[in-house]
Amino acid sequence: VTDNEKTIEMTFIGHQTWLFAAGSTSVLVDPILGATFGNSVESTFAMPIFPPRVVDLEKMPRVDAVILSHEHIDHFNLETFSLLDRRTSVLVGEFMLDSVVDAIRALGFTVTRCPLREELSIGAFRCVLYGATSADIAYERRVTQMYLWTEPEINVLNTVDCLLSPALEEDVRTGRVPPPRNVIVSNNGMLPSDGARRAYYNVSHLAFDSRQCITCLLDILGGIRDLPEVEHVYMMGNGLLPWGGEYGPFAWADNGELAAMVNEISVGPVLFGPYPGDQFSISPPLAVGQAPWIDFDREKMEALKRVTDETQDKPAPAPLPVLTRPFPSEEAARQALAEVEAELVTLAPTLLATDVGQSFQVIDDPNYPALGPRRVLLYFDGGPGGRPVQYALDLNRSAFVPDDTPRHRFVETFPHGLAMQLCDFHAILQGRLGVWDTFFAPVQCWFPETTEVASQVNHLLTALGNIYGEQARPDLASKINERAVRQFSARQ
Amino acid sequence: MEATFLGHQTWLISHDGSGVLVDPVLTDTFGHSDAISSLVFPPRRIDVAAMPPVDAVVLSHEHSDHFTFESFAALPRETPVYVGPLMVSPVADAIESMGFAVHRLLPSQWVSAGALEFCLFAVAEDSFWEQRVVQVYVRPREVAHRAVFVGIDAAISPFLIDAVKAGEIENPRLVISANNSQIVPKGGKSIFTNPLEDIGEVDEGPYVGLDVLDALTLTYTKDLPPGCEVAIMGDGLVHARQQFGPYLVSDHRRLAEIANRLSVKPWVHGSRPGDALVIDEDGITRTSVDWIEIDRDREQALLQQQRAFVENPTEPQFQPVLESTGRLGTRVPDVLDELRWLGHAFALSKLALLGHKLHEYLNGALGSRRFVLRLVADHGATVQVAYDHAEARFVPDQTPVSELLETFPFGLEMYLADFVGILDGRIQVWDLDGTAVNAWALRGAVTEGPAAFMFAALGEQVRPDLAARTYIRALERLSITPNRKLLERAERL
Repeated sequence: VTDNEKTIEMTFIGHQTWLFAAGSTSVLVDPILGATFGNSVESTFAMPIFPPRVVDLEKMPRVDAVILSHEHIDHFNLETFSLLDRRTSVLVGEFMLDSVVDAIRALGFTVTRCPLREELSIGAFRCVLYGATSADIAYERRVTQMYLWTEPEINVLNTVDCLLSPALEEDVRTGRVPPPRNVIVSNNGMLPSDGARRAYYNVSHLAFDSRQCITCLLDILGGIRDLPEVEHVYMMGNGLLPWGGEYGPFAWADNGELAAMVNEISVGPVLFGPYPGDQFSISPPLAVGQAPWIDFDREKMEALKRVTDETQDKPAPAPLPVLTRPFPSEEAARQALAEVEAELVTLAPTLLATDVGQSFQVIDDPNYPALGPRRVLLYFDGGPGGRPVQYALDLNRSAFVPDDTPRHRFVETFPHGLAMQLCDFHAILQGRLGVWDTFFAPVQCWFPETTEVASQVNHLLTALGNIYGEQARPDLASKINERAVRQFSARQ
Repeated sequence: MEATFLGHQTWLISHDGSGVLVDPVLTDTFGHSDAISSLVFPPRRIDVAAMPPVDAVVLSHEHSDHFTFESFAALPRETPVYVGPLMVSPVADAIESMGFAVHRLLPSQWVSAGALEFCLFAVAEDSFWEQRVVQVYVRPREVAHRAVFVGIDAAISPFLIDAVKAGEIENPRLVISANNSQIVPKGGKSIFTNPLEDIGEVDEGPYVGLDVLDALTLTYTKDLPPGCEVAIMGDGLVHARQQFGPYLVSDHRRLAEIANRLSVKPWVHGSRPGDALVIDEDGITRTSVDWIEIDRDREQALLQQQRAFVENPTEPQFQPVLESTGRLGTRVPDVLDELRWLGHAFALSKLALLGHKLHEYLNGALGSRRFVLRLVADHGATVQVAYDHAEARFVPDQTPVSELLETFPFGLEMYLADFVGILDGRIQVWDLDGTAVNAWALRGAVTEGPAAFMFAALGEQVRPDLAARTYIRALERLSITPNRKLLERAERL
């Protein structure tokens, strides 16, 4: 191993995708190389990466291995896999879902499930994978974090979407792994811009102004105080255009700008907020450069950021956009409605068994002083005859019941609600649309707002994500992935 | 309604020709001693003659960054002065000596001041030296939705929050929160600098500015209903022995810009002296007054000093506040006498309890001595004592100075001249900040450490006699005769 081979060169590709290279070894993490992401091939709705960039695959260095941290669509992208050399080793944590491993194998890759907390050798790298923590929010607890080093003092820890792993802290304490000097953290706040909030996400005009980016940054950077040897921190994430970009990027998505502000009032390790193409050579000292194979357009980024200001008062479209495809016939719509209504019979008790469901029982938001047993509304546009259908969850019956509250009174009547197209909800039940796709798509969701960060994800979208997501419903995940594999294999 | 910022934590709240002046520091510097003072930062000049009329003065507590005699001397003597129930009596005596009437207010007792009315709120548990602070709620008597809350030196009073929640008082439109972070750059020294910090407990995180910003904005107001805006004050001083210039994270204008950039809507105001926040039905807007002028050249020079220090820290020099005189040796009996009392105070301190819990240190098992106090003087006059937990008193100690740090898990080193100066009222224990003390602590929070012990034992609350001696000297400098009560209080307890 030459001195040169000890240097780790990290290239930020966008959102949470990185290329780590040392000597002749290169490892790609959570690869999304295209302009958009998402595995639901029937979705007509594009989810672009922000800031926009073009990755020149011809010029990108050869990749020896891919590490996939978890199955969320902003990390796991079958279209990108279909573009990679099939000889590339794919490494996942030991708890990666079968539906994911099967799909990557179906594309022709060899996938290896690696044990957590054991030292692995990947060419010039040594690597230990760590799991999430019980303090992470429920849907991030399947994430695998990765710690790579070539020499004890030349290292980088990628915490992905998680808090710092206590297992890693213990291993540092006992000397099993070197103390991290470079840490990648994720700005996973996904706080909507004001316009988008009013249009799609917590549409409630009663909602408190959640001024919580400061809190968010403290959460993101909180773990660093337990790692006194850290010299540089890299903040990634929030790197996608939600709701199709109609209301601009997330409110605090320019990590470079955030990092500059944090550095200005800090005494700690330098924080970087990299843009696509930014390269960091850890040798030490740190050297900063640009990858010639990534074309990042700063002006385009600034233009997209301006959309946020220009759409403060832009109303949501009515009816809501269709994410998949409209029902081909009246008969199909009626059939779908019957299936949805049958599903609601089991959804009601299932939902009530979740954390979110249990929160319905006591709602102490002063905006809802006199609540009856109906506290949750599901509203579907585009039912039979083009008419909407709506159901309220009656807590005394543990059932969804037909409801006729006028639309303009939804938010003041129901503390929780979700409005989307019937055809899209039906597509979720059929395994044609991933439930997490709706997280970033123009569906309306509202809930009592809270300043507690942990409670800010307690709403119907996350509840449905847990109920119909990859963990609880591998059958639905497999259907989506199989369709994608078929389409991308055919394209090859 | 208008809230005018005069610097550090001084505000004039005015409406319709009436004014309430909170914690008047109208001078360029503050400090009760003639030997040392602190500069208000950003440095500014107040034209007191041009200041609008003041109908009442509120004094939140006795610390010299809130209270200077020279400022009171510039005010008309018929202005009533209001203090809280726990204000130490020598302060009231001293202000009365100047010809003012001092009124003690109970919490929730409303007072009218022309077109304004105000009431005081006690603070919550904080560092003990801020626990007697009162915060001030001021509102116009005739107009709703204009109230200002001045959150001096502590988190916003929980009693205010309770009263707002209970509907007893209107949610303030403007909450002024105090930045008391006093962040020292790497290599800089304050009285709390602890050389054992790396093996003890670390208080400040690496992203301390975010912590400060979070506390001053979101945390302080999180239990108030939405709708109030925040103004940041405080940290506005440069101590004479502060080699690094202003504290880090004290540029409130910039902090507010950052807070607003990280918020859904702008709601934070960063105050600079001379700012007037005008509160009307449309919101809160910032204007400025012409009777306060910032000394920009001096401000820039101090900021340059800060930048230079951050880039190239200079080694702090341990030095006394007061010069030693040849007569210092004759005062050693007084010092030993004082140490007898200080031993009792130490026995009751949190620091003594921390000491009890330790059983070994760098040199192995610990005996009965765990805290050393070294009072440095020339010509063999140095007094070095250790607190003996078995004897329950300070005893003479001969440990060589080079071995103190490794022998005692807790210690404090200061100059004998300064210790005598505190006993005589020539300086106050607070004046030791900066480089006049070297202290160390293996365990415990800043509020439990050796410096905190000295603050507690020799501060105004426990030693009104020392405070009275200081105030008598300050009054004499202004050619004001102290009243009999103040003179009596100066007798040693």
